[in-house]
Amino acid sequence: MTGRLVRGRALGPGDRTESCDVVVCGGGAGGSMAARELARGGLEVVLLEEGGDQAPSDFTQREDEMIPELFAELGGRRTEDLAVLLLSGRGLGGSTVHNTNLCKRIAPEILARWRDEHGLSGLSEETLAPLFAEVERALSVREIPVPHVNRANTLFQRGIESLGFRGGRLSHNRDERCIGSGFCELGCAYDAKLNARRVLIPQAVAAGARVYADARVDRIRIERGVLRHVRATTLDAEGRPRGTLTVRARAVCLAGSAIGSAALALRSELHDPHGRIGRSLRVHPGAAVAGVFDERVEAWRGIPQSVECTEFLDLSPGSERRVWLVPSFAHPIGTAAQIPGFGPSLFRQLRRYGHLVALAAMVHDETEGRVSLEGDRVRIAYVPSDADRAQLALGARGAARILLAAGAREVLVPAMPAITIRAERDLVRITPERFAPHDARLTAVHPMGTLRMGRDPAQSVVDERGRHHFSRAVYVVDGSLFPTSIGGPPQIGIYAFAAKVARGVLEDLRARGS
Amino acid sequence: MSAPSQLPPDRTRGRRRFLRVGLAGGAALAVGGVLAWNVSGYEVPAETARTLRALGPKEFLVVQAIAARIVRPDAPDMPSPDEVGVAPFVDGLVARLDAANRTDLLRLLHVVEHVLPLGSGYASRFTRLPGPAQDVVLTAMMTSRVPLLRGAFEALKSLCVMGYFRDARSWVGLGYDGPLVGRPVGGWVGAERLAPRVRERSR
Repeated sequence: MTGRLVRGRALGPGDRTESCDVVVCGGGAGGSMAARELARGGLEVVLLEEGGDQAPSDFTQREDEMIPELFAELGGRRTEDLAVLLLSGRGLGGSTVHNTNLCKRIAPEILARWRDEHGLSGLSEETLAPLFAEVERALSVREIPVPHVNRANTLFQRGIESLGFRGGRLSHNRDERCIGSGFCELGCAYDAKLNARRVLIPQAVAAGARVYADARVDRIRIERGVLRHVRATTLDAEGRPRGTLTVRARAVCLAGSAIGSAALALRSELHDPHGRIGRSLRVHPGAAVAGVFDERVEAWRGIPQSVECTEFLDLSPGSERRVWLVPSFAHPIGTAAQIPGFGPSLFRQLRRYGHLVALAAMVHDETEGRVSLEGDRVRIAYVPSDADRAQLALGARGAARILLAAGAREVLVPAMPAITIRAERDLVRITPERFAPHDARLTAVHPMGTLRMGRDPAQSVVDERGRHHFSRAVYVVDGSLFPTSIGGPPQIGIYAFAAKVARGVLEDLRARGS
Repeated sequence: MSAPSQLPPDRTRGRRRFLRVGLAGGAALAVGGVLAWNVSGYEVPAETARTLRALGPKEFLVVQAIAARIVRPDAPDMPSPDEVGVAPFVDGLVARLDAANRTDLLRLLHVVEHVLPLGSGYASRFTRLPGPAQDVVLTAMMTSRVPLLRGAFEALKSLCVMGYFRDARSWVGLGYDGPLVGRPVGGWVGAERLAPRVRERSR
């Protein structure tokens, strides 16, 4: 088998057909890992990715050019009520191309909950630890060394330490090519990220996988439980249809993220007698809090996220401390969009841009959103529950305390109207009510759970091996699998579960024979 | 495990339905004589019209008017939205949206132009209002009790700030120095130690 990477935009118009053992729908963390594992296992694999294939030389470090290119719906994807901005990746490598490289394993408390509440007894810390370690080795995960911590993160750490809070340095998947440019979320022009695009896609191709960029999967056709084919549309550089690609396969892996995979499953009318597909969406909703310092921090320089605060993060079931704090710095467009108001008042705030240090309070959420279809349109319903709004407020208060302790002369919470904090006594202004939809600016970057794992088919979509409860040729290899929020960056968990599910696919197909 | 959150009915209402209802409401008011529903008078220079990809002249002028207020600088050291070409940028971006989102956005522009001024007590189109009155309309939208209107304001603001702060002239007032690609090493933390590699990659 000869692997290859084909850019759909380079293909002419017309209809094409491929045959393989497994077709992988989506080229992000999960899809890339699954394709590599399956191809290395000797199967014929075709991977289809809706977005393009970007090379480091394409990354211009300009928000206006890279956001529409690297994010779904040109970076403007929002929940149905427009209250939460949902940033998820598009293109080969998916969100690993624009993420800030944070690497954390799924916590033991989360795995225990999955066991106790969802019957996933085979996913213990002990059974998964070797898999996590394998992924970390493949991506060269290591703690960020002190000299690489920029001024904004240093101030964050100072605040954490002066309050005696829990926290510390994070681990990343970067290599020595990193120059600390600070443009991670716009794609790495220095090719320093050891992400799905740099590591796994080439390995998958080397092992024989045929990878198509610019190929949007429209529908999976299953008849009487047998997978017939996967139908895709090839796209030009602007996303316009060019032709079709029909892939006949024995199995299909869904890897289009918790939103894309759920939408594909719904469009394909996957058997769903209990109406579970698309439900249980979790997103880790986050609110930003910005401190204004007298010194010029220039927080856009250097590695954006090197330090975390876990003082308000207890992942035990029923916990009332479910917020993870990390730096959240944006370049001018992202910052201007976050600051409330418009016109001269907006500009007056932005003149302090060089003095800002921003933190994000990201909630390990219990709210269950839903992905559904309304005609051709994907509808994302997600309204943070009262309990999760209380967590946003808890996190924002914690972030404000840290920034004040680090020396900020003023802290801004971008709500409508904005909340200004100048001393600890002002923290009472940060209340859960201020985090009602549209009152605070909420952003989410970790969609999960819409095709969740579980033992009970009435409560879940796939089993512990990631296989659909009813259509045995269908597997899920992305964050859709997670039965709950995981309370941290998902990439390591997605890579690990994708590898695990892919190895199960290999076993299943070998058992079925050719 | 907590119970799934119940979505209040007003928050689950589809945005497309909302925009259709908004437009229908505006049209009904117009028929009632409250608003002179004049669909003519939207003219752009021929050169501009030729380059439009997704917006018609009317929508282009609405975007231009919205941008003129949302990204209106506080001092003359920053360029105007027209100088940096916010509306043409938005046109290009809208052309890349999928059909459903593009339709939503075009409907929203019509709601801003014809319906929202009425809610603020102006019997005129948005594009014909004086600047301060346009600010009143946009402020009402930004602080509306209708959640979707506030969300729609944020979406429009996002488009405008992307169109504006993409221009290097807009960075000067912020003290931002833009991309590192293609220029020698700057002065950020750690640059001294990393400088040889930066120089190598900047060549």
